[in-house]
Formats: sequence, C-alpha cells, structure tokens
Amino acid sequence: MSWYESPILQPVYVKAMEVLGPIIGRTGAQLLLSLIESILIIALIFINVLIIVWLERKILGRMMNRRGPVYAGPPLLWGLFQAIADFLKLMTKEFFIPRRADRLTYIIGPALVVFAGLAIGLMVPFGEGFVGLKNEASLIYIIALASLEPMGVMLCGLSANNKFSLMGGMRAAAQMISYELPAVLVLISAALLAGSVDILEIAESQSQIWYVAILPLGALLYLITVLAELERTPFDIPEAESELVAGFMTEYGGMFYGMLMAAHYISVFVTSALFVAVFLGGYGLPFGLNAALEMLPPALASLTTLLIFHVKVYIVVFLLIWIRAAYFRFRIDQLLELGWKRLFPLSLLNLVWAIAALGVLS
Amino acid sequence: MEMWVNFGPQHPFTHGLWRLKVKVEGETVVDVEPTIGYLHRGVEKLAEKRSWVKFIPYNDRLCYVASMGWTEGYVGAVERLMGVEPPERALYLRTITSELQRIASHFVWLGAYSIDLGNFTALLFAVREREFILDSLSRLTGHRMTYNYPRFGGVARDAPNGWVERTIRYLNRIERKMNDFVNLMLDNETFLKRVQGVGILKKSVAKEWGVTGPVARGSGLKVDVRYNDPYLLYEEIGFEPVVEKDCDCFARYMVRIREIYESITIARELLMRLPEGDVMAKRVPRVPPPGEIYYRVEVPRGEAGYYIVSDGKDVPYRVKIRSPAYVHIQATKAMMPGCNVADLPAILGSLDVCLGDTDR
Amino acid sequence: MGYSSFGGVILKVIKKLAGPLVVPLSYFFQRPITVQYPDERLVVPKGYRGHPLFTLENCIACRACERACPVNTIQIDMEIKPDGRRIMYGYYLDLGRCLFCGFCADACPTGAIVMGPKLELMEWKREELVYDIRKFQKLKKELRWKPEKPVKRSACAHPENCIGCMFCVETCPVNAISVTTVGDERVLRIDPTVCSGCGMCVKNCPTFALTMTEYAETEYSEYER
Repeated sequence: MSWYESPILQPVYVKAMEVLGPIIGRTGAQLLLSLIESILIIALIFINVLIIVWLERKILGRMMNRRGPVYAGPPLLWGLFQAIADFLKLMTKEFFIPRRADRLTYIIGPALVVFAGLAIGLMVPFGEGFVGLKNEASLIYIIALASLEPMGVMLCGLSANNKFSLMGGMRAAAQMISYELPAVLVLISAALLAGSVDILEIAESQSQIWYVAILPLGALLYLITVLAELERTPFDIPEAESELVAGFMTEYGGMFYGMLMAAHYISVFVTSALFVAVFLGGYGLPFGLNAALEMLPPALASLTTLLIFHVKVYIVVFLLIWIRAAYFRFRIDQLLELGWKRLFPLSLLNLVWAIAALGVLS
Repeated sequence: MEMWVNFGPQHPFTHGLWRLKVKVEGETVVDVEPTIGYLHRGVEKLAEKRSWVKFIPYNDRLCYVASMGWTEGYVGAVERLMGVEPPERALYLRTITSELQRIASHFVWLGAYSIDLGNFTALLFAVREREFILDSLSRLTGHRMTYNYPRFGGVARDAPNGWVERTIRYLNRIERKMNDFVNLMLDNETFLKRVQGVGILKKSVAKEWGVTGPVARGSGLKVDVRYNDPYLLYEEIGFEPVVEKDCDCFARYMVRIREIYESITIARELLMRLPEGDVMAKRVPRVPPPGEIYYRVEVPRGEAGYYIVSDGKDVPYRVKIRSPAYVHIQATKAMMPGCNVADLPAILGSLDVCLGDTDR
Repeated sequence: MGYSSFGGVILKVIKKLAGPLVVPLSYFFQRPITVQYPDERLVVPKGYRGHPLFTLENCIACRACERACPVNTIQIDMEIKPDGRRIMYGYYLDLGRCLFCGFCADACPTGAIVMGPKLELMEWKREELVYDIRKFQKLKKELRWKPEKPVKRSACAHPENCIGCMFCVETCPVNAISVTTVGDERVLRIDPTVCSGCGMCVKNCPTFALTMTEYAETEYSEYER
C-alpha cells in the first residue's frame, strides 16, 4: 500500500486535503503532502543511519574482543550518542575548498552520492504504508539511480587537484561499475519470479516463501555485489589503501567528509533494505503468516510490519559487519577479476535458474 | 608513462621512519630507491663515551620491539672478551627471555601485517596475546619494553616466586589461542590471494644479497645463528631451524608462524627444567682486557652482530653493530621490480623491518 | 567425476568461504578484555621500574647514584666539610633525561633511592620534570611508600649533650629541624613527619646528642638549649 492508503496516515491525509485543497488546489496539496511525506521518510532513514553507525561500532568492537564507544551519552547506556558527537564535531570544522580544485564539482560530488542513496531509499517499502513513492516500475528506477553513485564518486575524485585522489576515484568508479552488472541481473531474476518490476509487488509476492530459499545463489551473489557497491571490506580499496591516503576522499574535510560518511551509511541501510525487500520477504512473514497480522487493528499491524522490516534489516547489517571483521582486502585487479570472471557468469546462471524455477512453480 | 611515487618518511605501512621512492609505470613497479637515516641517533658513537656497564640500556633501544636479543648480543660479546661464564640458571633465564621476546616480536609483526592487508581483528588478537608475554617479562625484569636485564656475568634479578608457573600457564594459553588465528588467516582466501606468489626472492638472489633470518629461511636457505653458531643453550636443546621452500611472502609468513610455535615449545621446556642457583657469576672483571671480538645472535628479525674492540680502558674503543634490517631494506631492490603497486604493503610487511636497528 | 560426493564439495566450499567468520563470532560472545582506563587500572607488578624515587631514608650522600647513571641525569650538591661532616644541599633528578634503567637503585648502598610504581608522570612544563628533594617527598607521601626495614626517625636522645651549635639544622636536607626562640632560650624541634630518616644530622652532631629511633607516630622530639 502506498502511504496515503496506510491506516495510520490516512485520516491525517484526508484532513490535510480538506484544509489545503481550497487554498492551493488539489494537485498542489497533493504535491505538498508528498513532499512532506518524503521528508518524513528521509528522517526515518537518518534515524536508522544513526542506529547503524552505533551498531557498527559496537558490534565490530565486540567481535574484536573490545568495547566500542562507551562514554558518549547517558551513563551505562553504551555510548549511544557517539554518532551525534561526531556529527557535531564535523559540523564545527573548517569549511574549505582547495584553491586549485574545481569548485562546482567539489561541492556537487558528495551531494550526488548522498542524493543517490536517499533517492533509492524513497522507493523501498519500510512497512505497510511506509513507502515514499509508489510506482509500477520502481525496480527499474532504483537500478537507474544506483548508477548515479559511481558518477558522484568520480566527480569527487576528479574535482580535487590531486593525482592520488584522481586514481582513487577512477578505481572506485571501476569497482562500482563492474559490480553493477551482476547486481542488476540478480534483481531482474527476482523480478522474473515475482512477475513485476515493482518493489512492493516483489515484497508482497513473498508471502508464501521467501526468494532466498528459491534463489540461494542469487542471494549470495547479491550480498557480494552489495559489499562491492558499498565499498566495504573485503572490497574497501578506495577507502583505505589507494596509493597514499584515502582515495577519492583525500581532499575532503569537515562537513563534506561528514556527508561522504553519511552517504556511506545511508547506502548501507538502503541496500540492506533492498536486499530484505527482494530476498527476505520485505515487511511480511513467510508461510502465509501475514494473515495473523490482519487480525490486529490496522494501525498496530502497520507498525508491526515496520518493526519486522527493521529487525530483518539489522540482521543483514550484522552480517555485513561480521564480514568486515573477518576478511582481508582484495587487490584491485583481483577484485575486478572476481567481478567480471566469476560473478557475471554466475549471475547469468542464476537467471537461468530463476527461469527454470518460474517454470516449475507456475 | 613513468612516475616516481614517494612513500614518504611517514607512512602507515612502512613500519618505521624510512623513505621508499618507487618508480611506477602504470600499475607495475619498475625501480625502487630506499632512503634511511631518519632515526639515526649515533649509538655507536655514544658507546665510545659511556662505560661498559652504562652502555647496556642503550642496546635495548636499538630495536625497541625485540630488545632482549640485542642486549644479549652486547653482553655476550663482552663476556666472551672478559672470559666470564654465567652460571647455569642465568644461562637458562637468558635463553628463556630471548625466546619470549621472539614470540612477542613476531606478534607485533603479525598484527601490523594484518592491518596492512585490511583486517583489524588480527591486529587486536596479536596485541592481546603479546600482553601476556609482556606481563611475564615485566614481573621478571621490571619493565615491559626496554628490559635492561642481562648483565656481565649473568642477569640482573632472579625470578620472583611463582613466575615459572605463571609463565608456563601463559604459554599454554597462547598456544591454544593460536588456533583462532590459524582459522582467521590461513583458511582465508582473501588473505592467501594477497600473499601467495608475491615478492619472490629466489634462493641464489637471497644468498647474494646476504639476507638472514626469516627472510632467508623463507627462501630455502638453512641460515640461523642458533643452528650454525650456537650460543647460550641452543646446542644443548638441539635446535632445528624452520625452513620453507617457496620464496614468496607466504613462505616468510609461515616461517614466522612456525617460529612462534617453536619458541613456545623451547621456552616451556627450558622453564620446566630451570635449575636452582645463582644468577650472577662470582668474579666479574670491571673492564675487559684489550682485544676484539665479533659475536652473532639471532634476533627476531635476522642475524645481529656486535664487533667490539677494547683497549683496556673504561670505555669501549669501538662498538660496531650489524643490523639485519639494513640488508633487507637493500634487498627490496631485488624483490620489488616487476610487482604490482598494490603488492607493496604485502612485501614490506613480510620483510619486517625495524628502523631502530637499521639506523642505530 | 573425481569428487568424493556433491555434498562434500559443497561443504568444502562453504568452509573455505565462510571459515574465517567463526572466530569473530566467538569473540562476539566473550567478555571484552578492555580495561576501561581511568576507572579501572591494571595492577603494576612488584619491582616495576616506573620511575626513580629518592626517599632519603638512610642516605649517606655517597653520590653512587650520580656516578651510576648512564645519562648523567642525577645532580647532587653536597659538601664534605674539613671535619668530615657531609651536608647535602640539593638533589636533582631530571625525569626528562632518565632512562628508567634502574642503575641508580642498584648502585645505592643503603636503599635511599628505589624504583617506584607510579605510571602517570606527566607535567605541563619541561622544567617541572626536574625532581628535587621536596618533590620526591611529596611523591613519597602520595605513594604511601614504606621502607622494608623498620622506619627510623631522628630524635634527641641526649638533650643534655646539646651545645646549640645548630649543625643539625644546617645539615638537614628537608629542614625537619627547626629552631624557635622562647624567651632567651632556643628550642629545637625535630618534626618526625618531615624527617626522612637519612641520618645526616645524627652523623654530624659533634656531641652525639641525636640518634635514630623507631618511629611512633605521635612523638615530637623537642629539646631546648
């Protein structure tokens, strides 16, 4: 269901339309309300980003037999406000643009990366009635927007007048582009199974059985390509090791660096959400248990789906953090070889498997 | 298009303060030019102004990660010049502490290598296990890093009560925990792909450049001072060096891992056999008689040598220190050309250079 | 086809790909080994060479520590008077130059300088790192340092022998002996909490009026001349 049919917000919507309709016309009111709703979804994404940052630091710490942040925040509450403290610190740093850098691209680069992450996030269903924009072709839209991220990264690398930044940006772009293709093929195979390219439909058509059981190879492949798209270990070459310092992020400081970090975690959240929506059944329960949810009052059912969705996303995020703790970094040529020579044929195999499964199931 | 890239004096993965200029053509390394000297402190000159005993703490600070071996080198050399034999218990304690120091130093190498290659967990694991050894050594000698423990004619202090049992317990624990680490690194495809087949140093080339220690043993040379020229108690315990045949980074890595296991075994065996007695010889001359001596020891990084000239006075006439890492840094010229730029951390890490003893 | 079984191959592939994941997960469920530093501290073992501590107990101003130091960081201002008295005017140890090697503690014949366990030795200025006798006394009180032999403090055992030469007042490095005038008499007072038991006043008293006695906390030794 899209948001204006959701049980929580529908009365609010109706009231707002009544109030605003005569003032700015019906279409205007609808646009304004859509805008407000998008902002609410973005706020939800940011809250999740804060939680994921905290989760990452604590879980990664525990996996290395140490505590994560401890002191920031209310006492005995495990450093909950550390992300806010870091954010405030970055806000108060100097805002600078290197003298010989290209000013427009320097500013647009991080903005594009953040924008790509958020724009994808608007389409992902967080719960019954909690989706920003409902569209029949949302998967195609998501795939198209996902290729905006490497563009943003490349602009970041190009804009600073720095040899190493450039090479880092090129490497990051090459990595992201070569892992787009297997990701797209896997998503298409899931869309085949569902019979539509609408993310909501894909999520809802898993009410009997999740696609991770029908397409295990696809799920594994998608997990690996997600790691490469997000530039996390074991694929974190652009971030950590490029000739000298920090790859395409070398010349960024202060809030721009904060934006790039935020973009990283927004992408983590959004792509995990996509993984959950496509393979892990979205916000529903398997084996037809969704019927049990119908018995609850509609507002409560809606919130329960939100909770279920978040639990699943955090499980996927835990998996991503766990992989970060255990593996080493690939070399850039080994990484590209992995993408083209191994993942691409496997994703074609996965497509064939999906077609066969479709034939079997229907 | 050729380009000189500078891995400047301050760099995360050069492990120390030296400069490596790398000539790069696309992604391949064509030539390297190392520059050292940023940490030169004039230790050999200082030796000419300090008396024999007062110079002992300076040797700890040569290679600060592996200090016991270096002090043992100086003290052993002067003892030979003086003609003093330390008593049994002192010999046992010196050997045990040398082996414990070797374990600790290899853990530092392991942690630093892992984090260069991208994994933070193994660094924390290595540092955690090293804490136990440092705890044991600090109970014995009084300090965690620069021990100042061997003296002419024996050692400075005797082991406190319960030290032997505690150390054996710690060694057992470390041996058990090494399994964790075998699971994390040796079964890990991402690690093996970075490390196998990289940084080949053929046997003949290794012999020409004069590399020693784990770098040489990883290339198939059976070179180990504890085997070729035994000192302390190594002849008694029948020491066999660990040698690997493939000459790449993985072989050097395996040599060091096996050395950790071997050192644990040797230290534990010697601890259980520790005899009673004095820890200091009865008559130790104040200064050695005139003469000269060259004495070699096996520090964790290779072979260290002390060439000491005495003319009967209060202060040494000349102390010349041979450092293994000095040679290994030069050997990068043999190992690096032809490799990928992204392999540089793997190769530099496997050489395990410590700039303290290179620059002295 | 050369594989033992299909299931075996799958298991091997899974072990190879997912094998390294076991160790971090096992750490996840263990208690962290972090020692939260300012609130919890590790106990320093006995005999730790944290810093030199000049306690002044039984010091005979022989200057052995000054000679034993490899970096010449100890500086002692002392004087040997023609009649054999040893007076120590100052003792300076620069912690900035100190190697913490422990040679001074090894060389001291009476145990006046030992190695103490304190770890946090930071100061704001470089000059404050030079420890003189007063700073050492403060450090000694802070660490609540007790010597291994029984504590002895100087006291006047034979006040009838005292001739009022005030050699003891001049000798004391910590100014534990003070003189006040009551009427036309001088009262000399030894403060046992300030006295550090070096024993120089005892050695320098020409009439053997002073001795070192075991220290009971509430005694003041006061004598008149």
